Amino acid sequence: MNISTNPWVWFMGIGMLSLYSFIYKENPIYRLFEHIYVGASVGYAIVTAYGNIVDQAWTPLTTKGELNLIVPIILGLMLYTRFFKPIAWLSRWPMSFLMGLGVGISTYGMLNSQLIAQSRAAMMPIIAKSGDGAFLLGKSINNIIMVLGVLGVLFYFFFSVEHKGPVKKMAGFGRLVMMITFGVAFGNVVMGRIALLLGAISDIFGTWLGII
Amino acid sequence: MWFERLQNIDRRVIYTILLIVLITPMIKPIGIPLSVNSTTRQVYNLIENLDPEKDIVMMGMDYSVAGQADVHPQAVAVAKHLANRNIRNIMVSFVADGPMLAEKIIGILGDRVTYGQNIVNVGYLAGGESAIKKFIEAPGTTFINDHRGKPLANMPVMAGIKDINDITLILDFQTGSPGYQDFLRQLPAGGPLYAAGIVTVSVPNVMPYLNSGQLAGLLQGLRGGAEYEVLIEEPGEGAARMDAQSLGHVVIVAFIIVGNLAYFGSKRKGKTHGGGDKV
Repeated sequence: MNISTNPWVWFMGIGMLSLYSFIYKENPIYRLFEHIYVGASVGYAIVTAYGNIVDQAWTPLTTKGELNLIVPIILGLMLYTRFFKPIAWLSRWPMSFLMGLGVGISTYGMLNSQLIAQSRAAMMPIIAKSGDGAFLLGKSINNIIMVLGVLGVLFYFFFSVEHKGPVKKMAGFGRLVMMITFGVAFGNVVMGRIALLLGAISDIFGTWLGII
Repeated sequence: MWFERLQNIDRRVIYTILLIVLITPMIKPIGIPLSVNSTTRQVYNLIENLDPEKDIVMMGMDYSVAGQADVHPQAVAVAKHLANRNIRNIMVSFVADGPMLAEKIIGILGDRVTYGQNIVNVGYLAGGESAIKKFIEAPGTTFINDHRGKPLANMPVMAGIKDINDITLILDFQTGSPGYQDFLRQLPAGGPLYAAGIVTVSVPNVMPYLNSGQLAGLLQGLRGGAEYEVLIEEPGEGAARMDAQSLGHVVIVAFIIVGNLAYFGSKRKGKTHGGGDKV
């Protein structure tokens, strides 16, 4: 057992235990560390954002004479006009600009990487063959399941035709595929949460108390 | 009676059992064998096939402190591999916590790297997808100074980087947004290879992009980190936690089975006694 003598490690350990005490029930120590956590996160974000403004806008403007940066600086300052009621409407301009920019930047890429590339990947041969023409049974089964799964889910969300007969069967298969997918997602959530808990256990019993 | 009690176990009892099961193997490891997933091996092979003379890797430090237990072991293992192979590593963050975690990794690497020569922490760029776009358009000039305030222009690690195609591989470690979708939307066709290290929760969402070939490799949560440690033959914190992770899953599975048996048992009992389901 090798307990840490670093006061910051002690602070971390006590903070973690205090936050985990919420599992038992809410208490003042939990709330204290919750507020410390929120305050520290906001403080860190402000310092980082300040550094970004200095590096990305102020320094190039003042040392390299990049005058075009005046426009984003003014737009950025205009965001704060919402705190002054008579000119609060001015904050809508940079907000609209940001929204337009966001949509513009992602639209083309979204079509390309998320629609076309994914649709192309779903168009796979149901009879798979290797480079020398040999039939690949395992891959063929995988591909058939994949293609039927995609079609089934698409049928499930296709509401222009009444779900009866073969359409109902396909939609039912789509529902089954989605249920399996939700199960997989839940399994991964459990795995992820245990990994996070293990990180905390490692910090408390390893870094702080020196048992592990 | 028993069936009802099993369905209403106090959550604190479940937490205590889980905690005991997780802590015990961490204090006394059992050594449950760990197989290596093909997606982890893909990332390993990508780095093994790089040429230290000309290839450059960008490590995207896009994970938060809250998710570091899942992703940090991956990033450490990959950074060790890059350092062992003397591949130039440029650490870029589009998440505010990133530079701090990058410094932590540089500290772990110690004498394996020479700062400015084969590794650099260029810092954080705000703006999410817009920032990624800006970096992709001008990777050599987007950052003037590194995270430590030193000018990047004179550093050998940054030499020759003008275009995104001068970077061979982007390995992005992420806990959410910005992440793989933002990079895939912005990377040009025929640009650098893109691989990701993600939190376990995101695995089902990312798999279609791996199957379509848009991702060149994938590290899946803590397990991905542990597998990578096995591949580079340097067991670290990822491998140390895998026993506990596996036993934790056994406990969860057991609780699910017990819960379901109790549910169906009480339903059956209700039918025998002529009663219906409880509302």
